[in-house]
Amino acid sequence: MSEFLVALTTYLALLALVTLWSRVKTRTGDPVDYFIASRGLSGFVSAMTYAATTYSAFMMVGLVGLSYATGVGALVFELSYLIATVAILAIIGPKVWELSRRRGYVTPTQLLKDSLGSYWGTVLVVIISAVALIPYSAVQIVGPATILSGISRGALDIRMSMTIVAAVIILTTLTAGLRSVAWTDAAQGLIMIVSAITLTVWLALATPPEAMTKLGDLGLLSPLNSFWTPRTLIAYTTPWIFFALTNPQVFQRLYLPKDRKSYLRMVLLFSMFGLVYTIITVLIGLLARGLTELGALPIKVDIGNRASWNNVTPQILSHTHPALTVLVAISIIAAATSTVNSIVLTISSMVSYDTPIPERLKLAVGKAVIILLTLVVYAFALTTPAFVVDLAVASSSLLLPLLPLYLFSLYGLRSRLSYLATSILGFPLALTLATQQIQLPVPKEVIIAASSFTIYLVFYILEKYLPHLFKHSQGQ
Amino acid sequence: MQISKIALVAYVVLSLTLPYMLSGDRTMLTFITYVALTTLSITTALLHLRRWVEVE
Repeated sequence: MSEFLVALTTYLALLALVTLWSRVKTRTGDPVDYFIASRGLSGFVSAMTYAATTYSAFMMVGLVGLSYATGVGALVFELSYLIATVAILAIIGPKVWELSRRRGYVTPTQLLKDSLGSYWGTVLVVIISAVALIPYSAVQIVGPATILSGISRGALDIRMSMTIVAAVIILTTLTAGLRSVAWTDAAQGLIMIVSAITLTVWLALATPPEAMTKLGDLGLLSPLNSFWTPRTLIAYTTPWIFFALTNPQVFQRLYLPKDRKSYLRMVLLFSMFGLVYTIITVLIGLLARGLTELGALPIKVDIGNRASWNNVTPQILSHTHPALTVLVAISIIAAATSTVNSIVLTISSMVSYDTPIPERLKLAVGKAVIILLTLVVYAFALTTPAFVVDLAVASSSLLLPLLPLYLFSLYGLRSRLSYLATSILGFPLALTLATQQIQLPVPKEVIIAASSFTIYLVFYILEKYLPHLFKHSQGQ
Repeated sequence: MQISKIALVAYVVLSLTLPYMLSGDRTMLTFITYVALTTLSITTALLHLRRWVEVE
């Protein structure tokens, strides 16, 4: 326990140093510098902040638990995300990067407002983004808090652990804005990958070949099994493959590289990080399950209770070398804070720029939103008993109605009416489907995506071919 | 440029449809196929982006 407290203090001191150093470099009175570091980040820092923002506590807590409980299908699910994201970064990303520089965008929603033209539609999208990201942000507080309280054997209870994480988020985000977030992300990304590799090697050395046979007997080595039915796989992957477009905190990261070479380097390093991190995370879950089945690792998780899958990683850590336990625990806190501080900063930039706030108050309001949003997420986290993967997928499902908006704002069929209609109708539909236990012939996520596109296109056709019906909307 | 875009879209479609072809106890095949598919996607994306950097 004392080793852990020393490591935690060292980690927090390191974060404080990086944050203060970033503050020296930041023109704190300039919103563009505060929110997107004046579009001047190197390829390395851009890549690390992209990776650390994307790969959160979801990986070391959620994906490890998912692989442990459901097998190799978890790899298929997560690598589908990486393949789709790399494609988006290569095909759509350059267009977004160029537009952001040419038109001076700071937030993702400025692109929507500029292309689709509705002021109130944009305000609505800001609200939708903030609300939809609350469950995902809560994951970043629940995940490390579970680990902290687990390995401290009660010395730090869940509430105290959550308070530490929330304090780190406010400290790193408020002090120096994006530069602080990006630099701490870079440091935290390195901690994440080193600790995950070390844990995988430790588990691999302890795992005999019979473990694989055991996993095969349980059907955990088949991409499709009793859990990973085609329906489940489609339900999980549909919001995930569009994550890079619908999640504003990663979309805004496309604005950050200082030139094209830095953009290329960002994609290269992020892709390598993602590939390695995904494979080793899934391996940790599979190896731990193999060892458990052989009786070599006493993990007690009720496979029938999804919320208990969160406890796989804390239980693995309670059996590893104390130094490794501390390293991995710190890496999970790093992964979580690096994701949630990016979300909070992006939402605060959207509130500052895309809602009716006077120019001179933009930065002050942005900073107030950082504190307020962190407190809302903290409060939500205190009441969240769900499995972190389910919470993460729920957030991305709620963001799916924004997909046609971002795509059509970049590739034609621009319509103010469709923008408003999709914002007004799409999110309530997504929220209803996501929160109700309704059995439908196709996964809800597919229905949300398809209906959002349908709403957009129907109103586009109506506005184009029956414009006299919507004359009043022209003045908005 | 167009060919690399088509290839990238094809990789995404393949990644989503492959599990149905790989059903059964085929761990090594699943791992190798997915890692290869991801590596191909990354390589294609980087080649595509390198051309974009060069035309600046």
